[in-house]
Amino acid sequence: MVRLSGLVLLGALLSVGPSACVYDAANRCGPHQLILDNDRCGCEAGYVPGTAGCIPCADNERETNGACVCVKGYARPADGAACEPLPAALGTACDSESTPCEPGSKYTLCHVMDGTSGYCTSACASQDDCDGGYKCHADGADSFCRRPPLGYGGSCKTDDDCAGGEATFCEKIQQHICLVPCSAGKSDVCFEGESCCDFVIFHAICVPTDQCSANAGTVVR
Amino acid sequence: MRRAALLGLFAGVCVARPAVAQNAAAPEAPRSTAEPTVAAPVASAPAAVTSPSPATSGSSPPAKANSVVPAIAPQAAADDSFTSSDPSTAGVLVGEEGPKLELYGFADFSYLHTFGSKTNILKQYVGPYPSFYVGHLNLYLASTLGENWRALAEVRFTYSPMGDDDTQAADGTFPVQDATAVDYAELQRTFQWGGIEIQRAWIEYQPFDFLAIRGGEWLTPYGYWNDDHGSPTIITVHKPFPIGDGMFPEHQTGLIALGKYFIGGAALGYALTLSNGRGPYDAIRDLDNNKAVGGRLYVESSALGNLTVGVDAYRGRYTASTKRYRIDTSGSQPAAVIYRTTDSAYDELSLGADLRWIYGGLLVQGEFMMNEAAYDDRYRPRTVGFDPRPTFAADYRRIGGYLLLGYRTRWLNLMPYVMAEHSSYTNTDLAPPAWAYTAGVNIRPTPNVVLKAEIADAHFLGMGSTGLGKDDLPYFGSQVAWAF
Repeated sequence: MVRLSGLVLLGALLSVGPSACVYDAANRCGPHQLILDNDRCGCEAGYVPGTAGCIPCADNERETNGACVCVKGYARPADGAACEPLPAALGTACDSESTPCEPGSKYTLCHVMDGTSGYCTSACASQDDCDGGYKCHADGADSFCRRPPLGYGGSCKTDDDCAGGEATFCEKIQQHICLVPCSAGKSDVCFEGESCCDFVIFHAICVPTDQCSANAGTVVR
Repeated sequence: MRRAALLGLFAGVCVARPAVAQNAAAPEAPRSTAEPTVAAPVASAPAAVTSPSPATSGSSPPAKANSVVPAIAPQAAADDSFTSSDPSTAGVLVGEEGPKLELYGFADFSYLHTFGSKTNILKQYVGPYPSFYVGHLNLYLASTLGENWRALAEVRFTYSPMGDDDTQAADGTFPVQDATAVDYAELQRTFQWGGIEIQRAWIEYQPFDFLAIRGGEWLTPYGYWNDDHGSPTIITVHKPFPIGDGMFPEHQTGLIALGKYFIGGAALGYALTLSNGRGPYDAIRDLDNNKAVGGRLYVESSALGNLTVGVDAYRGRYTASTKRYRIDTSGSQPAAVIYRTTDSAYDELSLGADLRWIYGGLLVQGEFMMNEAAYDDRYRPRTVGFDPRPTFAADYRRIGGYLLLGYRTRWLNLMPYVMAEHSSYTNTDLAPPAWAYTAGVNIRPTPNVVLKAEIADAHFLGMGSTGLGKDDLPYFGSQVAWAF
């Protein structure tokens, strides 16, 4: 009886094994997800994380770095709103001495970036005054609607691929995308809502403020 | 405070006695294989007990089921003003009728010195400065409750949570847990309190020689390291990665049936388990309806030294959820509704195989294991890293194992040893696959005292999502461990 019991136990134990496999090496992620390096899953192109898995972006949107952003020529009039066509005059190149912004439009302020050249935008008192993904850069009487960093999120292999924009640092460890470099005393290059973050192992970069400490970084002032 | 509690325990039970005498001279050979007997205290030094108890396995406590325990430690009690001097009022536990409580345990004192530069993340994480520390102070409480009934509890006294600095704050720091409290008994001076970890607490009924049934919290019966976890027993200073990473749950709460059947010079042992499975606080509550099952089968042979070969399995579901409430206004009057939302859930399977061969002074011990998990897609957790895109944890199959070789010499009762270990870490984006190599010596000057010293180097096959694996982690560790 004892030997029979032993065989039954052996069979029961062995049945726990192969018959109960839970892992499928060819399907490690959820719906609309694909496997990334370091044993992670990311959303497929055109999909972003939702409350339960990945969901598709809406019309006039494209996915970038896990968020749905408006396609070129479109912007959200407010956070969470659907993408709408951008005002034509917003963000156009200007020169404070030779090429002023179009008079009569809402965007008559030429924000100078380098020397006398810049882009057309508007003054602001709050975020409500800004359009097209621009954010109100509070600077007293000189507050203006600030343009998102040029080149941010573009794919790259070296810093050379990021040249010409404001996101000139190529993150080469994982995602190979252009990010905005910053440093102590020069953290104002970070866009509104972002902070200069030191991750120790590479150059300090601008990231959304809540993602800095959440990813073991230190905010640099 | 702890001392007072111990004094109270001693005074109340009055059967405490030094366990040193229980530890006969024995190498680190665990109970389960060195001798198929019981009566070894935590150090797993098998005592010269002649009556085998087949149902016991390596996880068995030092059951002195039928041993005669002195009713009281006479001199100690007489000198102890907290105990009664009148035998008639010394407590029923002292008498012949009551169950007898045995207290014994182990402790260790260690030194860890990590090497590497200041930018070595692992060095900074594990311990940037050479440190002494008391790692374990484990107390066993065993009792025979009557014919075929016995019980065991093991508690670890720890300085934690003092010094816990593993949680990040929003400002980029790791604030340390402050365990400082005012000592109300000492004019409001301060002291630092610690904690207690219940390692196991179970009651056992053994109706047959080949069957014992336990209920409570018990160590998962797999391999050797998890069962024989007392620091005087284990050879090295630190446990191998795959053991520490919990490819099998370290302990479970539920039921376990176990036993051993002898066939000639061999023995067939088994364990079958039914438990809450793994969870955020599975020792006290299951957060799903799926009970975990598992088991272990092993064969012991004394044909050529002591050889033990075993296989292990575990199948369960992990669920983490949050209790919430809301106000239901759909009825005639508002009513509170309590419900739970699932944060993370996955099904998992663990399989293992192990071998140990003791031949003369030679020890060959290895455990190899696999743990795989498939997340419920609705509750797949997010991962963190430098990736600006949100990412999710992937289903995984992680593998790991270690191989330990040692030889106990007669000279100084010294054992030089080497160990290689591997863990694939495919369950986390943070850590890449790792290998570690250890070389050291283990000296047992007395049966109850073990001295260890080792050098080790862990290196990683990749960076991980946060650069954790960019540097090796070489370190020196030493330890003195003792059973009492």
